[in-house]
This record gives sequence, C-alpha cells and structure tokens, in this order.
Amino acid sequence: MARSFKVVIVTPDKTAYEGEAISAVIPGLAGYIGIWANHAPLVAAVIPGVVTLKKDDAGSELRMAVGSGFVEVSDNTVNLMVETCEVAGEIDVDRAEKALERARRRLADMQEDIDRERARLAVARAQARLRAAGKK
Amino acid sequence: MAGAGVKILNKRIRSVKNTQQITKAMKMVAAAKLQRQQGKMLAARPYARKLTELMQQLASKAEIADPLFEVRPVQKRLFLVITSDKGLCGSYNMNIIKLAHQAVDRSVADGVETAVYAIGRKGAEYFRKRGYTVFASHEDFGGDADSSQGKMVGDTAVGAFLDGTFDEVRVIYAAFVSTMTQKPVDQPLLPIAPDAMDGADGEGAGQDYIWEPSQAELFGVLVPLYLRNRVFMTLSEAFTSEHAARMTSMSAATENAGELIDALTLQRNRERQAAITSELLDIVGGANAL
Repeated sequence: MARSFKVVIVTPDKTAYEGEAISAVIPGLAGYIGIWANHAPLVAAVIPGVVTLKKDDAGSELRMAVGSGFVEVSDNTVNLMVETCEVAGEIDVDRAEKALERARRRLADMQEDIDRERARLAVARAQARLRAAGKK
Repeated sequence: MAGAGVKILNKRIRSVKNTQQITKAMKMVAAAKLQRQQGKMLAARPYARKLTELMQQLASKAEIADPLFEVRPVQKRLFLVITSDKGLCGSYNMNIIKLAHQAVDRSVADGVETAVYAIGRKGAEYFRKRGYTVFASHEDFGGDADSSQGKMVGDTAVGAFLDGTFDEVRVIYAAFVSTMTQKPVDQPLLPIAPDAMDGADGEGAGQDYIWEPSQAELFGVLVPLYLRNRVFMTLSEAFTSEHAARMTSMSAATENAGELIDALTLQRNRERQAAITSELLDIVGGANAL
C-alpha cells in the first residue's frame, strides 16, 4: 500500500502546489479534515484556513493559507480547488495584519448585513494567513 | 523643375517610416501582452477543468434543482458581447460585432425582447449608436482578465437571470484558435445546459464519494463558483484573441509600410536620375550650341 499520496492545489490563477505528502489537514466546512494515504473518495467544501501537509516521517511540514473552495480525494490524489493559496514562507505578515485590522473594523462598523459575509470572510482569510505564517 | 518631385517623395518616405516605427512598437507591445495573457489563460485551465469535472460529477448524482439550470420559455434574451476597448486590431471587432448584430436581429425578429451586455468600448458604442438596448457595459477591462471581472460580470448575469429580467443569456466572443486565427462564436451561458460542461472527461464519475456537506449544499456553493470561473475563462480567452489579432494586424501593417517605403524609394531614385539626365542634356545641348 502506498504510504504517500499526491497533492495538487489549483487556484483560478495557477497551479499553486503539486507534490507528495504522507498526511494532509484541510479546513473543511464542518471542521478540519485529516487525510492519510488510501483515503476513501471524498468531496468537501473548504473554508479559509490553514492546510498542513506532512512531507515525511521526520516531521517536515508545509503550511499554506488557502481561501474557500473544494477538495476532492480519489485514487490517492488530493485535488484542492481554492480561490487563493499562499505558502507560509511567501506570506507578508505585515500586510496580513493590516488586512485583519481593516476587516475587523469594517465588521464592527457595519450595520447593514449586505457586506457582512464578505468582511467575515476577509477576517477568516487574514487569520488563516497569520496562522500559516506561525504568527498567531 | 524635377527636383520638387524628389523632395515630396523624400517627405513621404520619412512619414511612412515614422508610421512604420509606431506600428512596429505596437506589434511588440501586443506580442508581450499576448504572451502574458496566454500564459495566464493556460495557467487558469487546470482549475477550470477540475471545477467542471466536479460539477459534472455532482450534476450526474444530485437532483438538479438549482434555479440556474431552469429552462424557461424565452421572452427576453441577453447577449454578452466581448469586444476590445481600443482599435487597431484588424477585423477583430468587426467580426464579433457582425455575428452579434445578426444574432440580435434574429432574436428580435423572433419576437424576443433582446438586450446587449457589452464588454469593450467598441461593441458598446456600436450597439448604442444603432439604438439597441444596452443592458450594461464595461469599457475599462483593458484587455487584461482577472477573476474579479469574472465575478462582477458573472454575478450581474446571474442576478438578471434569477430575477427574471432575462430568460436566457448567451455570450458572443472570439475564441482563440491560434495566434493567426480567432473565431467569433455564440455560446449559451444561462441557463446552464448540462451538456455545456464539456472539457471534462468525466473520469471518476463512477466513484462513490463521501459528500461533506450534503450534495445539494455543495451544489449550491459550486454553481456560482463554476459560473464565475466560466465567465472569467471566456474573458481570458477573448482578451488573448484580442492581443493576437492586434499583433497580427500590426505585423501586417509594419510589412506594408516596408513595401511602401521600398516602392517610394525606387520611384524617388528614378525621378532623381531623370532630373540629373535632363540637366545633363541641357548642359550638353548648351555646349553644342556654342
């Protein structure tokens, strides 16, 4: 039995990541989903959060902040379709902190609920970025 | 005096040379933009393909109850026409507009209330000037597609479809065949036809998936995403076609200018030669008279 599986992360702009992993943790709508090799076929909605890929037994990890989207698991391949994907090393912490600040203020100011959902998503995205970067 | 003709020709040659330099620069700009836009289009394809695959799998399993699939008798039709904002791209806009104009007229002749949703200044001006109903227009996309445009246009179309402003939305744009060829096409956008989801091979359709949350809920989230992405991919392809058309036509213009310069130079040299010869004849004639 294979111990590792293939992970492909695609965003509307590009193929953000393609590689092998032995485990993956993905932020699903109903909570984090842990995936190991030979996982049963699965389709799930993904919310903004942190994807953690374990590359080997030594514990080398790759963390990525992703936006909302979907994950499909079949035949030892994990396909993530998300709006955004940023690898931990590429995240601009300052910018993420400012974005979080801004989104929180917008959320607090808001009376109408037209843009509430958007602001809430922005908060979630910024928090995910910071968590992936290991700042919070 | 024959020298005057030479002077005029010299002036014309200089002016054509200037034009040639401009068209050459425009060709190079278009080539750079084409490369970027084409790269973006290709990079975006895996996501679009995956989304379509997922959509197909869901559509084959779940009961399709989404309002965006609902086929209604068509009383009001919207044409999304994608042209460029700027000219100097050969027959690119004309070809699209011609197809769009015919489609709109046919629709009107069928007794269907028809409106145009114009992307690109050229199309917007054309239909506005001729008194057609322009439902909305975007004239500032600048030939560079991004997903926020897909969202904006997609959501506008979906909104108008859902609230009954239109019963059908079609899109007319230039499909990118190759750098030399762009083909205007007329495709349905809304309601979503299940067989319109081509491009996916349907692999894994037989798999028994765990769905989280339920299929219906997933479907509800996936459909708008799919549609926005589809509009984005269409824009991306249309803009790639635009840059390709501009590059080709500017390349042709540069070549034509080169030919014109050659012809004018030849004519100038001939006239100069003629002037010299006639002056020589004058001198020789004068000398003989002495």
